[in-house]
Amino acid sequence: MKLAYLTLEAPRSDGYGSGPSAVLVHGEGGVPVEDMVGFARSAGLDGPIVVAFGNYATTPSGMEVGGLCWYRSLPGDAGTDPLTLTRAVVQLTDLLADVADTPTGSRTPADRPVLVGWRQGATVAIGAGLLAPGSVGAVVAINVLSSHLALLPKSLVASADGPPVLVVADGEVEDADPATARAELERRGVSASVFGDRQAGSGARPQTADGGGTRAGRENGEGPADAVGDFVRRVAHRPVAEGSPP
Amino acid sequence: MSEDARRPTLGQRVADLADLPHRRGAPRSQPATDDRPPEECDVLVVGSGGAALTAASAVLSAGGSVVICEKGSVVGGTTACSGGVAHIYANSLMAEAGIDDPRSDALAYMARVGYPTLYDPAAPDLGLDPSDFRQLEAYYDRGADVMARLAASGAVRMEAPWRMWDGQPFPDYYEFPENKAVRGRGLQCVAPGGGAGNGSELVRQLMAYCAARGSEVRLGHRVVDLVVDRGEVKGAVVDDGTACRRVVARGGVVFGSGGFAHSPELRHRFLRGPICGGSGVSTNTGDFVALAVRVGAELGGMHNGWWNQQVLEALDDDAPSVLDVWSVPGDGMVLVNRFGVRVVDEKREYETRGRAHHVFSGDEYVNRVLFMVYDRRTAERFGGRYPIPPPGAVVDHVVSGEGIEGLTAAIDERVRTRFPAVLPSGIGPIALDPSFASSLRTTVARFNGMAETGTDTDFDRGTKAVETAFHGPPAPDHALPNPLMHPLDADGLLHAIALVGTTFDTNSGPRIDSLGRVLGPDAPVPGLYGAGNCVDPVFGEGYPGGGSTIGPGMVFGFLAGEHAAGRAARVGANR
Repeated sequence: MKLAYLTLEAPRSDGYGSGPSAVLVHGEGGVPVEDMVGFARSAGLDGPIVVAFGNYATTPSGMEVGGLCWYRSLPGDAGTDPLTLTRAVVQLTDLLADVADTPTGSRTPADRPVLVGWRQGATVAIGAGLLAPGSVGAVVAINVLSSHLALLPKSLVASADGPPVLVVADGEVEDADPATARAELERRGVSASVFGDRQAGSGARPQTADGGGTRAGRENGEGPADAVGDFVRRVAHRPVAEGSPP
Repeated sequence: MSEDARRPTLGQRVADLADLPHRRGAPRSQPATDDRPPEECDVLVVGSGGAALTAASAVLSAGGSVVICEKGSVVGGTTACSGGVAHIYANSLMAEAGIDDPRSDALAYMARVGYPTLYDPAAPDLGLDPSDFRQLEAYYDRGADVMARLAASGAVRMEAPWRMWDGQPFPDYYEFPENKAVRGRGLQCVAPGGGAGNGSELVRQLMAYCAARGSEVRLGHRVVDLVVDRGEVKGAVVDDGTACRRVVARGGVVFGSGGFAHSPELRHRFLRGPICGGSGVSTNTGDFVALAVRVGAELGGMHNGWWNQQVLEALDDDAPSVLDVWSVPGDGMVLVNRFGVRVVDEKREYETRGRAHHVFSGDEYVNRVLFMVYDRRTAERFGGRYPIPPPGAVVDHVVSGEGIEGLTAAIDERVRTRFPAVLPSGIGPIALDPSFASSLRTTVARFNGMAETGTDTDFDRGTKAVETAFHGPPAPDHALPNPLMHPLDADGLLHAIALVGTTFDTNSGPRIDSLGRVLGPDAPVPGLYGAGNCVDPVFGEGYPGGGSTIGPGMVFGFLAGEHAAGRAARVGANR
């Protein structure tokens, strides 16, 4: 079953800006579309935007219904169901293929969309970036849980043309620790940049994977959207490995 | 052939990526039995859903030891995918609220719902087979007591009312005169922070209780045979993925292992009509049926399931965790068959809608596929409530067209190109009857007239409390007498979603008695117990209210576990 998705109108009267396109991947409970889009636009993602909708969910006190999240939560400390997580990753890559011929698609390497995911959507976005690296320009994972990342299929590891990854903790939730998420990604060969690392301490500059540093950080007054904007500007026109699929 | 048609199914790709044996693939070869001595316990419990874990909790409460084997890779069975509701008669919350739930009326209600062709209020045992009636009595008499004992033991407190969107207790699914307590029988567990917990929380609490007493759920452990000694079940052979090992269970083996919704072979053997496996966990493949028959169990009615609907396009994904359509959203919406005819009250609960697919008329299953037709207004007002996509979203499973003719053309093209032949699921080929467009126009015109007056003279839509419970609050712009009906704009943009009948699990299997003992032709099979969807259902073919799945699973699971623990104690005392 394919995912539902929404293609947004151009943000300006004269069309799209020069920023990359984006695919937004909501979290559990369904982050409101306007909030996701507002975040993306404020991060400078003024190109075409597609909003993807998961078709798996558990309501707090009722039967499972669609449209609220991406994969099953399991009882107790079991974390999440690796099968439905894998399913969501495959579905998102299918969606990327389906929209490849639209303005959001990846007609040239530089035009590959940035995946921006929240919570469960962040896990799925990282999984899609690993599964279909040639279809993804970059991944921004907001409030991702390392325990969920650990349940991505073992075969999903970094490739030479894999997309850059930024792990963001926006401070809104307690259980998202970007340092442990980065460590989990390193086990797959992914070098992620991080914003909002609580363990880095006050005044510490956020660590980046490419050694170039980022100006983004709560200590200098910048918020998550600024950090994402910086990241996207740096990586949007990265060199692409020869032979990468368009 | 389209690109999509050539591509492996979603389920196959998921299995490949996750490096799992494909769940519908060839059966694995049986590993050799290893050299280890048998493991010993008082009771072996098979499964990890509500029935199994309640049975395990009962054994542990009685001071026994338990081994819990779950063949799947995740815990919780179908219970963990659910609302975690138990349908319990004359429960403590009803008593607190002053709701009377008289025994004779409740039994009559259960009998009428579960055995409609036998029910006779004037006959002994209400016309039922005496053993079936004894099961209903046991369920009424023991249900609230079991819930109280689970709470007292600290295993789980099923003391939160299952409520609908407006705060009222969720109603039962039928309002027959026999039903004197339409609201209040649905119980959920109390979540740690107060309030109601869903099925995942119910499983978590039961697991925690078992784990605290030394019994963890063993994932990937499949029971492949029963150990029988002089006619008594004394354990099982368990395949842990690397080897088979005997587990000796002094008191016996309790199965709470789910039905056979995901066994195409058993579905075709026992069920009738175009029925697909739905949202129950994919490990519901009916292992218990063959194991129980081999040791002399008598099968009950094997034709029962919990009926539902799912979207056609999801049918052959073969993917884990297909979504069922628990309620059909929208007020300006009708369900029609391939002849363009309404066949069911669209706002009824899933069970009734699921059954609508089973009708054989003329020379075919006329409702094999039902088309959910809705207009632009409904798409906007109810968008985001599955299966209607969020407003403006593109989605593969919705076809659209301008007016009746445009929609008919769109549906026709979809079914001709995508479903031209019989699918592995048994659904298909699908084709619209030539009369579809004209019939649909007539159907919509008639529906629109009834929506204006508020009275559905065909199916009484909107007259049952359960319909309002599933529908939710009226659309903000709705100003007609019946909040569940609104005229469709038949000349504007129309949408359609094709639905097929499913069972989110079957509830068919060996017969049990009021203690959860599996019955042979003349007497219980010593040491063999069952509860939940793997056994003959207490409610027959009926679904009296939300929690009719988990409630009996927990009650008979508890009674089975307690009885098996008693057997184990007696065996120990006799040593």
